[in-house]
Amino acid sequence: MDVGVASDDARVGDSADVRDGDDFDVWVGARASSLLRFAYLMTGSQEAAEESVQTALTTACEKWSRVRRMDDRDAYVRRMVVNAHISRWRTFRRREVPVALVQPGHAGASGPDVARGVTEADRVWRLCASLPPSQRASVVLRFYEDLSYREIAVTLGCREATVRSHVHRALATLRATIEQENSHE
Amino acid sequence: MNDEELEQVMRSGLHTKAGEVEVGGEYAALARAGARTRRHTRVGLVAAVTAAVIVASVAVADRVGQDPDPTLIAGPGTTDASPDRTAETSAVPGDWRVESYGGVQLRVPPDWGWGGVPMKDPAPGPRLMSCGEGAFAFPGDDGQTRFVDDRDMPYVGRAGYYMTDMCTSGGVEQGDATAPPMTTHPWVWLGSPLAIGTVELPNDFVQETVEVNGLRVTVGDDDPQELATILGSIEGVEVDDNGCASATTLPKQSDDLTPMAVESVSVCEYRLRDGSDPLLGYSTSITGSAAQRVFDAIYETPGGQLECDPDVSPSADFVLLRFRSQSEDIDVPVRLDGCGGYYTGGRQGGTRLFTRANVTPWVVDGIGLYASGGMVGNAISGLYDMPQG
Repeated sequence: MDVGVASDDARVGDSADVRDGDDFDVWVGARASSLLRFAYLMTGSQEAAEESVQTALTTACEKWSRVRRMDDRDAYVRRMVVNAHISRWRTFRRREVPVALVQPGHAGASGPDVARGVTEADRVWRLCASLPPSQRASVVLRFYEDLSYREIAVTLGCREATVRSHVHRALATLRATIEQENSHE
Repeated sequence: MNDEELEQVMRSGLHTKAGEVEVGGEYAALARAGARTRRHTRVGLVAAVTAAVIVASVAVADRVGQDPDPTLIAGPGTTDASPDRTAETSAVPGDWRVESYGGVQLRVPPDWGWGGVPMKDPAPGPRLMSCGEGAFAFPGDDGQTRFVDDRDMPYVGRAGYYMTDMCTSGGVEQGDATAPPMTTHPWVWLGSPLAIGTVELPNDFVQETVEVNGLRVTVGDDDPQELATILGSIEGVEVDDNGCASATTLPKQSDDLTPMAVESVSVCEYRLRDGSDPLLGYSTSITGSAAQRVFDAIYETPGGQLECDPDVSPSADFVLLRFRSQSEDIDVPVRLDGCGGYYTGGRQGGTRLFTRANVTPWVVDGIGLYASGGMVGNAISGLYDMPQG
């Protein structure tokens, strides 16, 4: 009967959905924290990071049957995080300017090494805040995710030379900032 | 500090900051719920999106049917634009920005820069003359115009804007005339000097020139999908998506300003032309509280007195700020001439002079590069003196 065939197909589909859903949950459980840290470095705020990650994961969930077969799912979703941030940046950047907060150090930590670390981290943070999204993504993927220039180019969908240029300019700016601030100390 | 130490500072800084984020949350469950919501919403949008793509495709097909202008420069490899282009046209990503010029608008990725366009060399022969190649500014993280010293990035160029006084010509013969010097990043030329048609360039770049509303637009890209998407987004408009009319008359002064709850402001830069109405050269828009700040900064500026005759040294352009609220639209003309920069919408129709405080809020995106030959953007950047206000 036609009804029976349809019913069987539906059960097969349901079963695949459940399997995909479990698989998705496991993957998100393992990777969400890492994605959130990456998104935080990309966006500069907890709220924007959570929104970008949630947007990317929602898209990944929609396309999970395809995404799950990819060799590098992380790269695919990281790219979606970047795209989600760029989209949000275009919409809200004139109203929101993330401010680099000076976070308190870990309990018990003190002394010049900690102070120096905080200062350098804040320099890096200020530099990141001044970069446009794609340039900032290049820097974060290079120095936080430790990806090669080629891998970054694939992730961002741009040319390797562009990535090298972005990273080079960011490092040059950081060097100039450090030298300028050191000369005033 | 050597390169290795510098990279270590960057790595260490990023890892320190990454450790500050609070992790945890029901991401998988929320993503599944979000995906279900999107599926329901998308069903209703499919018909509308399909219709929009068809309209864009028809517009491109109309354009490529036009004859090339023999007075414009063409290379030996130029072919008529392929009618198959419509098959490659795809929907424009939502985060792409609008670029508008003289009654034509299109969309490009959000991080592209801005620059100029080569022009036909006034000397006899099919040569191009360049007064600045590549990107000269890009959108800063704070939204304001950011000038660049590295031109090697995708950009949108506009004809009639000189990026530098160091114009170069010569050595570019007809065979090379359609090939821009840089084929390492995509570009769009609004007001192109090139002939309609398609040219294959080095590095897998394809350059296509079309005409809409009498305006030539050239797009060069090594990504066929991106090329098709940009070309498919081109449309002729009388009022662009930023709310700016393609042409207008030169306003003398605005209505008197009264406090208003601003929802958005259109920032429209017009080029003055002999014998014709000023033509829109660049536009952008600002919304929400940022738009309110633009209005408030101007409104709170006391009236001032010009110390010269603006007609003695007229400018090449002016900016029109169109403030929108729920109940009314108010235009505030911004003059940029030999008397400096000023708003003609003062209290009781007076004049308000530029200050850093009342200019900075609206010098966003490419406006700092294009308005008054970049003087406004440079003033904000501190290159020129300007009262703090």
